[in-house]
Amino acid sequence: MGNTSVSGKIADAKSGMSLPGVNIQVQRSSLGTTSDLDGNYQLDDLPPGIYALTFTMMGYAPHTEKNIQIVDGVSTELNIELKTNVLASPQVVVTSSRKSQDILESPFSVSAIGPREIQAKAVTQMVDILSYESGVSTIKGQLNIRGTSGYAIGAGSRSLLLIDGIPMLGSAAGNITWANVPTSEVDRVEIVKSGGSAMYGSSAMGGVVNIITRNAPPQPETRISTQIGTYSKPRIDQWAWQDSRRYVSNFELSHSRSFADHAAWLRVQKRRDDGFMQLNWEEALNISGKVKLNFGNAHSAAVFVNVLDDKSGLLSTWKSPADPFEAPAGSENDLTDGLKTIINIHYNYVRSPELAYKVRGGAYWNSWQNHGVDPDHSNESRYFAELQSSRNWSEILTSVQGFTLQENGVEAQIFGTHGSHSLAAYLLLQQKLKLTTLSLGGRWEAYAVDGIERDQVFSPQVALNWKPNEWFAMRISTGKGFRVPTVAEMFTRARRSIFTVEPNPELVSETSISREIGLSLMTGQLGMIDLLKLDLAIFHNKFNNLIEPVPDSLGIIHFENISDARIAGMDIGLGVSLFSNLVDAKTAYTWLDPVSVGADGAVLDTLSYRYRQHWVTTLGLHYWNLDASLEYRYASRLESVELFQENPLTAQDERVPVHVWNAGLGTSYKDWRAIFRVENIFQYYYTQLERNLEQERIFMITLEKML
Amino acid sequence: MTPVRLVVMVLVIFSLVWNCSDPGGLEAVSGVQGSIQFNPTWPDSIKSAVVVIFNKDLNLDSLNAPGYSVTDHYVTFGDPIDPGTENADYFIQLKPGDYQGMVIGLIVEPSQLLTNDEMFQNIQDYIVVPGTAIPRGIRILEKQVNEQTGWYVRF
Repeated sequence: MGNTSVSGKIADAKSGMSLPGVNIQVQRSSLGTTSDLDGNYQLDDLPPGIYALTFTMMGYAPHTEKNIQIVDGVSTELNIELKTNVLASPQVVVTSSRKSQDILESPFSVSAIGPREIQAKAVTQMVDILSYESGVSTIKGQLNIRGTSGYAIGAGSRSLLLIDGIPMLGSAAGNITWANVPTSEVDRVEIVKSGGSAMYGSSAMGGVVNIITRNAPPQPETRISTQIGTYSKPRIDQWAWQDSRRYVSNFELSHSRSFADHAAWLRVQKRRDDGFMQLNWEEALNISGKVKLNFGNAHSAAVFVNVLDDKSGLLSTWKSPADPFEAPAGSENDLTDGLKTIINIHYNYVRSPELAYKVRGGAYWNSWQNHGVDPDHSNESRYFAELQSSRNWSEILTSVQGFTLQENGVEAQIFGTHGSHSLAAYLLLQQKLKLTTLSLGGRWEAYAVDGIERDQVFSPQVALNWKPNEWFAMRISTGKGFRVPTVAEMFTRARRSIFTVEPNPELVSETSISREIGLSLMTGQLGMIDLLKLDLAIFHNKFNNLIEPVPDSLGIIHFENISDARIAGMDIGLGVSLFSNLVDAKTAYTWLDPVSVGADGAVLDTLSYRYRQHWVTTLGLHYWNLDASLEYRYASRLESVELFQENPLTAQDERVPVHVWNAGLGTSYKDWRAIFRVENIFQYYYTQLERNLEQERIFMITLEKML
Repeated sequence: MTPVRLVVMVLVIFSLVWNCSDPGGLEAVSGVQGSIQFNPTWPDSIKSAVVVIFNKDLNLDSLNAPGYSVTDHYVTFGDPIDPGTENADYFIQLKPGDYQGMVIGLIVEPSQLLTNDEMFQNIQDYIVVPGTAIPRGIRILEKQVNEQTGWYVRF
């Protein structure tokens, strides 16, 4: 019996133009390919049988062609037309189940952001986009999915950041360096909002953000982008501090091309931000690139490299509430400079339609020096390796299993010299039972610090997805999560403002049990409605031995396994496109009840740095080749903080809700694209972290030319 | 949709936004600020110095009188000043009203006082009042910062 192939051409349903770069995936298999420059594709080595093929491309609705009969020795031709999808959000995700999956079939809450949404905002840091997603908020760059992380002086994120599936948290503080993400080269971002420890281990207990970088398209492409922005002067006379304006400039040059079956892109970014405050200036040079090698349908490999050389002001607090833009006396010249290097390697081998292997390897080196009042330095390294296989045991049963190994090292004045390593094994089984998919999985992980084994954790999860038709699905899940303490939490010795932080090497892992029930709806062409998307989730996360910074009776702060906590809540996201793509709107509301609880379950206090309510809305108008957008973000007043409590007698350290409006206007003409954007239109002033003012109004113009 | 309808829609949206745009963020503050000169020689027992604000009813002569509670008159204090400092700027946010301000020395770490309520209630046991620190009357007006300079402190 011989193998045979399926091939054809893919075109835009409206214009008939061929579509290069369409992803073609054989359902319930690891086989796939992409269309070439002329929209042609070919899948070889398919054993005879009946298949379903899914065609996906950003900006187009996914198309699935079922019941394709492949007969021995006969080549099958299948031409496809794709229809545009106005909301342009990805509908096939890879993060929640570690394999390609329709977003409606995901066992957990997942949202995805596509490149059109990223480009429309013309932001240079991905964190600025994530804040407008349901269930997500950020405080000084610390990612909070459903309020899990709060703010822990940058240490110990409970949400895991991945780039192309490889962890990207710092090896000492477990923090995220957003400048390492090449925003303009991102294909999509997937946010898993349920606890993900069963698949991704420590730090994923509050969710996972997977940033998937793009592969170079078949046609050569050179992009030049320049952005100029200026901050407004404070609208409050008392806060005036500088006569001259402060500017932002960003220059990017990228080139991508294919060679034979392979493709690559290279990007150089130079950024200078004067900052709207005296000490939040930043300058950075970022060079990143990705090479994708394809050896037929069976073998492929990719290498991603990112080098970031940056220098920035070292901001701790404002000078005073009467001078919130100025640095405290004596620290005006505090700065930090560093060099961060990432190398990620992927190798995929599709042995048969039923069996595929993935090997991932990553290295991350980070060195920084602080200059000023508290000089310090750090040299950090992290090495990661993973072997994963996925197998389709039958039409209805699939499994994903793998091993990971991670090693961290740090040498710094603030932390000392330490090393840690972890070893993990995971398994996820998915069985389809008519309309229901049952997911059953778990991960065992052991970790050691300075050569001493500290803990072994097993995190199981179970989930059900019920999808009665193509436009509606319900899901229910529960799982256990965990997070090992970071080196920063165990060994920091520092002084911050009047507070002293001392080490606590006795810290143990914190654990969580998360439960969620949710529904998703996605439909199109209902009268004047072109597309309607709705996602609703109700969740309840219980945490044990939560690691939080706690002052003792001497006022000295230790990180301690001090409290149990409970974060219950709901988030709802709605997206709609109306009047033949003239208007689109997205709104997302999150409600949280984040409390610490005693041994008897009684509520003790509200967890610090968590918003009880968070609401974001984006409205877009598209007419001719003009795109206008308006965004609004509301967050309720933070009920609790750690360092400086509000003083009702003096109004000192007053906290207010967040009300921020942004607007943008973009146009494109031939190979040119221009975007004008204003953030914080009404110069609304607020703090998130105490004594740190949030962003002043900024006007930005982005001009882009594609060659 | 015609261009006229589109323009009307945009104008309606922006007028709605404009009307919703004053939800009350942080504004100009009122308070007292200035600089303090210290005698360069600090006693070893002093862990830090602070500017403390009391209400206008504090009677310094009654400080050691039985039953007289300093904390009843306490309003707030400024950022701690490290021992050995010769010159320090300070700012203290206050609501409009009349207050008294003075510089005191703390014989315990300031973070200890902040986090220990019992110690804080007996604050007079942990402070040193320098002889040169005469309480100053301070009047705070709405959204204005009162300048108090020329303080000289010797512990």
